[in-house]
Amino acid sequence: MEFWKKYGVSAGFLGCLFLGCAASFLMPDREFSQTENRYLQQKPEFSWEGLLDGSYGKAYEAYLGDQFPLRDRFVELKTGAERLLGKEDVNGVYFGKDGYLLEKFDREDLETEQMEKNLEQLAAFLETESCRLGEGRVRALLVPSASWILQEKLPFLAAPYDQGEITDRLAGLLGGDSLLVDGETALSEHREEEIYYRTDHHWTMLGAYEGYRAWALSMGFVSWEREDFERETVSRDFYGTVQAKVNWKTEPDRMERWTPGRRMEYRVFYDGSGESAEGMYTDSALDTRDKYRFYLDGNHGLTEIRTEGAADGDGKETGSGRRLCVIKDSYANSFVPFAVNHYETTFVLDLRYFNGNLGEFLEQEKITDILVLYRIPGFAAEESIWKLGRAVSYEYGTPVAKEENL
Amino acid sequence: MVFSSLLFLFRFLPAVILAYYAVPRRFRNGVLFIGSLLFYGWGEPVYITLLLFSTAVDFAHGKWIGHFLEKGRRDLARCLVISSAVINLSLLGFFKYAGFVTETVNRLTGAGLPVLSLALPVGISFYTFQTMSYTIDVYRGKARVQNNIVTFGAYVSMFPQLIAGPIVRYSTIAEELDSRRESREEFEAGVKIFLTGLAKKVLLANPMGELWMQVQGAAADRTAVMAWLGILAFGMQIYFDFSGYSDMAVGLGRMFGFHFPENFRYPYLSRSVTEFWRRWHISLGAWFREYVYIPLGGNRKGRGRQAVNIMIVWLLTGIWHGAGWNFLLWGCYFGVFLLAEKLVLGKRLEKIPAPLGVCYTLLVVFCGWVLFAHEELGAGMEYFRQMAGLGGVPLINDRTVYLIFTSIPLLMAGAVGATPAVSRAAECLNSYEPVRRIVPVFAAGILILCTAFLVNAGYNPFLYFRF
Repeated sequence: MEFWKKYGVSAGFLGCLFLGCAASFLMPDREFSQTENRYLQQKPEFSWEGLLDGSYGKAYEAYLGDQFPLRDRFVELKTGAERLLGKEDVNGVYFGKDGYLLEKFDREDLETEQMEKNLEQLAAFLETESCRLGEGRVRALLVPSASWILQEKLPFLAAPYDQGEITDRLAGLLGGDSLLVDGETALSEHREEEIYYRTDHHWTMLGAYEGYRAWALSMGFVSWEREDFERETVSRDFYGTVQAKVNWKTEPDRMERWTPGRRMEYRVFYDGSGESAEGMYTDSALDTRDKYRFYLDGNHGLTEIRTEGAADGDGKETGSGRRLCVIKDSYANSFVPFAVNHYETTFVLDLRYFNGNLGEFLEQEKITDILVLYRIPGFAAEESIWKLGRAVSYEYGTPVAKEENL
Repeated sequence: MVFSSLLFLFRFLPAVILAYYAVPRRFRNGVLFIGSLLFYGWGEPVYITLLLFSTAVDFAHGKWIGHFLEKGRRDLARCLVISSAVINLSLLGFFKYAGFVTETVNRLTGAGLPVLSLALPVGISFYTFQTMSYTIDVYRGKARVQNNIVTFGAYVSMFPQLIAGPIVRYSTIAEELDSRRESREEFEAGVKIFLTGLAKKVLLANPMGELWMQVQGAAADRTAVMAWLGILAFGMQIYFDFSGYSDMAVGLGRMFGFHFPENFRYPYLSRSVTEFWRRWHISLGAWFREYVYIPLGGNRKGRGRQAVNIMIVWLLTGIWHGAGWNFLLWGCYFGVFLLAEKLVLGKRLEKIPAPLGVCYTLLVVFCGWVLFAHEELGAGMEYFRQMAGLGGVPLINDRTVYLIFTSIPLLMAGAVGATPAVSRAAECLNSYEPVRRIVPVFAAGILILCTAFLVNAGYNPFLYFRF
């Protein structure tokens, strides 16, 4: 005991250092981190050149950090300590009420030069296409993220950025909001329901449904009712990206599949594949960490969905010749299953992976309707929006036959 | 390498401690020398040559100065001191100030000289000052010539204080370099100081830095209150960062049997700016006093000359902190306050109640941090305007309230941590038997918590919605 009192601190200190050191040598290296969803740095190979130019030293430091023993537990400990000290947001995530984890966005996060450029490009695209395809054909739906819609769930005194300002700017550029779907109002009206995941940055299938209703209203056709679908819970242990940022255990999320009550036939082709996939839902994804890939098999550059028996909510068959193109980020993955019911053919196009000429594509595929669907923070930071410009500057040949009897 | 990293804590330090205590005493300086070179060169080995060059040059200069002094040739010895100073200052000047000077010349004359953009060798401002202190002290007869290049190398490159001080003058540790007694008691004391410093850096300075970053980022939502909060956070960050680093250096020194001078003595409790600078970065102030102010004549040549000397020292202190106009202005700013206190304010400050004196000092110092934090003078001025509520910024908004509300515990911890309250409380508790038993557990807890913060810094969830 005398020793402990006199030299305990150094004993404890050295104990921790040597233990940590030994453990990090002995523990097997991991190749992939499930929580972070990325490959971890592996042990760099020693070389004298590498040592002398510093690259070995840097890689080794990264390796030690990535492979540190109990790494995920340490992150949890740090988050816990910060929460204990009254922090309401850690690593850019609000600890909201009822177990909600919400991404924190401030003005400077969204109001960037990139966002200005994106808005201008989007406005030009919407105007050009609306002019070409006619009224009631082209829409943009920019969806606010959870922190703006679910303000009641935010921690005490949190002051999130008003994401409506970005939609307002777009309306300003367009000289009106007739081409914009008011997602904010539609979602706000249902904010008491589970429209966003608690642990992920996406909207739920229900949230997507409300977005779809707002879109249908704006386009002027009758949407399907909730009762027209069979809702089925496919997973009860979904932890999403927001949870990964803080590595904080909360209640996991529930994922749903919505299947139309009437008999519909879908044929789904990913990235120009000649073979039809089994459907718009990928069941195998539910066994992985990246469960959100369940919807539309994650992100593909181009997905084509052919629907047999496409009809509006009032049962009116929409017939052939109506072809939709959704230009989107992953928010659309759970939205598309609703949209496809109204179109004989739906193309889902992700600009991040689509490298063709958009104008040429729209013309060749005889697209009649366009929806641009993004989550606002994602849109603000998106670096591929410039590809819309290819359609703006494209010289369309034959004018599209406008269908009069919508 | 920095102390507050996993690499240092879980690779370098255990290895060095093991090697240091495993070898016989006469090889220990060698272990420190080699260890220090590894420490310095990790990640950027090129500049090791610079460190070795500096070591060799001053080692040789020291020997020759000693040689000439023995022969009674003070004039030649003097020439060598000057040569050593010129070489050291040229190194510093070239690597730290060349870019700044050419840019300034270009701006003034439009000469269009190519601007060098060299990565500043880490710690060069510290070790050049240390090696200069050696040759000067040898010349002055305050230090004996060091005849062992490994020992001298260990002094120059000594990893505990190599990159952020304290600036240890050669004469201070000359004896310990040649013969020192490590002991368990010293080691124990060293670990405690080191952990205090680590906690200051990781648990206080870094979160304060994050708060300052948030305020900096929120330029479009800035309010007057937020501007004050920001500069408060910056001032706290720089204090805990710097003093934490000094503590870690002192603590590591003790683990190896060295006693480095104290570098910070609760500066934010000073009652005047003069006192502040006697308690903030003490080793730098001491260096400038010893090697600039006093040689210039100090206060012995009349008031006018003293005023000039003070301004010279403070311009140099300012520019030492960084190659930029804002640092020069920052030094000048303090020079003016120190002069004013020397000439008129000093007497009055002694008479006012202590809390008022502290408030005055804090106001001056934190306004100074605005200059320090903004390398662009225009941005600094804009920040001042925002603090004053000018330029159309509101007094307060929701975002400011949220920032303050969520930072209250951190700010309180910072306020308490900047006073001796914590160490007094620790001393007090230490006299209770049961508490003493859990001190080691508490210390280990601090280390684990710091580790958690360091691990988190490298935690980058890869958000798959991007892919």
